[in-house]
Amino acid sequence: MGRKRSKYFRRKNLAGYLFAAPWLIGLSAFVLAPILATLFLSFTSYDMINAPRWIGLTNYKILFTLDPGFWKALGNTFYYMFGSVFLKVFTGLIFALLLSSALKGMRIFRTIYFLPVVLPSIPVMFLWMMMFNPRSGLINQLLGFIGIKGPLWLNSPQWSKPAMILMSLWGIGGIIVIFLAGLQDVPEYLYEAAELDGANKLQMFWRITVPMIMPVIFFNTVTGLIAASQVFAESYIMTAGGPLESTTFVNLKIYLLAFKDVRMGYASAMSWVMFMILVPMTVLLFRISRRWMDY
Amino acid sequence: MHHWHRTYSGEGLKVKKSLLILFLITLMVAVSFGAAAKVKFWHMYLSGPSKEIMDEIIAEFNETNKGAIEVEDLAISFWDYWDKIRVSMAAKQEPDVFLHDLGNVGMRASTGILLDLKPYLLAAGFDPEEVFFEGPLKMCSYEDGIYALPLETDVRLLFYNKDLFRQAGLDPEKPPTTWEELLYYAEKLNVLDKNGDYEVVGFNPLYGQSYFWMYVWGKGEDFITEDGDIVVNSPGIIQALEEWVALINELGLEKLLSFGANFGWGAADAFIAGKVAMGIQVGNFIADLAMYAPDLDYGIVQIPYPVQNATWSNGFSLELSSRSKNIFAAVEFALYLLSDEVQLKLAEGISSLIGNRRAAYQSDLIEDPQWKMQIEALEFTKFRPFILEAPLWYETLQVATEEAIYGTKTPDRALNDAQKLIEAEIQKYKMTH
Repeated sequence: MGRKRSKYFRRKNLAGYLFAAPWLIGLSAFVLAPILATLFLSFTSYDMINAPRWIGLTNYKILFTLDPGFWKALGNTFYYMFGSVFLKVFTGLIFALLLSSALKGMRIFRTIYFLPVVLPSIPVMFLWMMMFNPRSGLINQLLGFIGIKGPLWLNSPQWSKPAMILMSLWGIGGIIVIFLAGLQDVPEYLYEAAELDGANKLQMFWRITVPMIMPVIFFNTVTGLIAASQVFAESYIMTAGGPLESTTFVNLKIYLLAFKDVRMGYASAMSWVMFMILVPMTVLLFRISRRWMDY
Repeated sequence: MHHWHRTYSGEGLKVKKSLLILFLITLMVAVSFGAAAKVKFWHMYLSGPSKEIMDEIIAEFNETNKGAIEVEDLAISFWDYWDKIRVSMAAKQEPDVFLHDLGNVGMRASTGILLDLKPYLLAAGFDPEEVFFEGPLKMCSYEDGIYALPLETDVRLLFYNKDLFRQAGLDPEKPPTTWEELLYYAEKLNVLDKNGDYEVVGFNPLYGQSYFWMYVWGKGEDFITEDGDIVVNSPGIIQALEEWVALINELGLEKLLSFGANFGWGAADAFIAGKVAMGIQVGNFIADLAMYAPDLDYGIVQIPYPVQNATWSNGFSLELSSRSKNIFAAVEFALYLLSDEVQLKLAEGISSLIGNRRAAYQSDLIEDPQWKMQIEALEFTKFRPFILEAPLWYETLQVATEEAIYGTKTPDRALNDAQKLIEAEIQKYKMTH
């Protein structure tokens, strides 16, 4: 009886593995293998013509002592990451609260806010470049109506990152949808009980809503931060890393090092250092969130 | 009968054997000649008249060398070309002959992947210094060899809008010949709107192909010391940057930036739109003008920099792989592409600025004043020096230039910092190579 059963389960398991095989092969060949390759390459000097030459930790040494540009790029990346994610999460939550009311037409608004997420990103970037145009762009014109002389946005070293952070609000639809789902899960009786106890709307927001959806806030924050750390296309297309390298992000730097300078070894080392910065950061976030989620 | 047969078979066998051997040798020779040496050639002439001309050139070569050499070409779009050629080299499957960047031949030459063409040139009776323009030829040299041939190059010139000249009361047939004249005319050509923003800019130093390093050369300064080291913070260069920044500040950086943000390329180019009276552009801009603004009355003149005429070139090189299986055939084809006849064809067919000087002066095009001006510029043009240890030194220079222009650093601080960064790059290279 035992033998027959295990044979049955083994066959079932085998079928499962076979179904997962294409994806596993794809993952190994196109994701894991290149990642391991870059780990190896980070200890070499590789110009893509001659074989990689082993140089040990030299790339890492250079990165930490001779490359201020990397740290500037890291600073730019963190500025964008935290600026964009906090703005998106905060604004997303507010919009989700507004959209979760049962007013008529809310479903249409939900669709409208989600639409930008499905648009192709490159044409959208050109659209934003037009909107940010200091003289004829929509944003400065609107600011002009209320008497503010808008800055040079993408042409200004100080305003280029804020411009990109504003631009990232475009993708807020995904966050809103997830928050809406989270808000639905907050049990009604909590609000009713609070109302009976005489709580006002603001107190209900801070004491009930926020703690109850803390896991969702946390999820959006962490995934948002990881995604934002990969920022590349915006600076590659819109500003080429400028002006004055204010929008040179780490991902862009790695790309240019690998494919323009053809310094594959050094670029690989940079990727791994970035990885080693993001991993502890994520772990730290998990630790902090566990504290927040203790209610 | 029997007797004859016996003797015949003895001798006959010998005869038959030698006939057989002779036949086999002839067969081998015929086969080895019949199998034409294949030469793989990659280029970027994907469409339009340049594709037609290149097809003709290759077909003629194949016809002349039928049975001996066969060129198989592949046209790749400019945007994909660089990735494809790089990957092909990494995979050891690069073509025998290919186009590449004339600005960084040394990068590839130093890896050993390029064939040193010097011995072949000399054997074929090509004296490179006699045949090619000096500037482009220098970019093809690395250490003691010549690792590329200057196939196509370009120059920058000052384009000016004759209609705007007339409107400002200037003589359209008298373009500026000195830097002072240029600035004087520029002021007269400026047109401001009611907000004080630029409607038309007389001379826009931030427009088109106007780069700080060209101004440096125009001041008679250089980026290479006598010892052959790269320098970006010599007193002369610092002074040049101070003047450049002063010029931009006089015109108003913010006003120039917000002016520039309204334009793009092609039909949306500022000069083509008639909003820039004098601007520095590459020679190929003539084709853009013909396409997008055929009625624009314009002229071109050498850029009248303060100390000496200067301009900047870059271009395409023709390089051969040292790992090619058919080196002699590849060399034959490369020399053909750079020969007087073919270069003349390229010049006349697509107004290409060719590297072959002899052909350039022989061409009928020399009657065309615009082409003649470009050829004259080729005589004194400069390329950005290639530094093997810091190949992107000019980007560090460009950032320093921007820092000075934006006012975040003074010119001398910006250039001193840039020099330190470049030296750090060189040190980094030495640590990893």
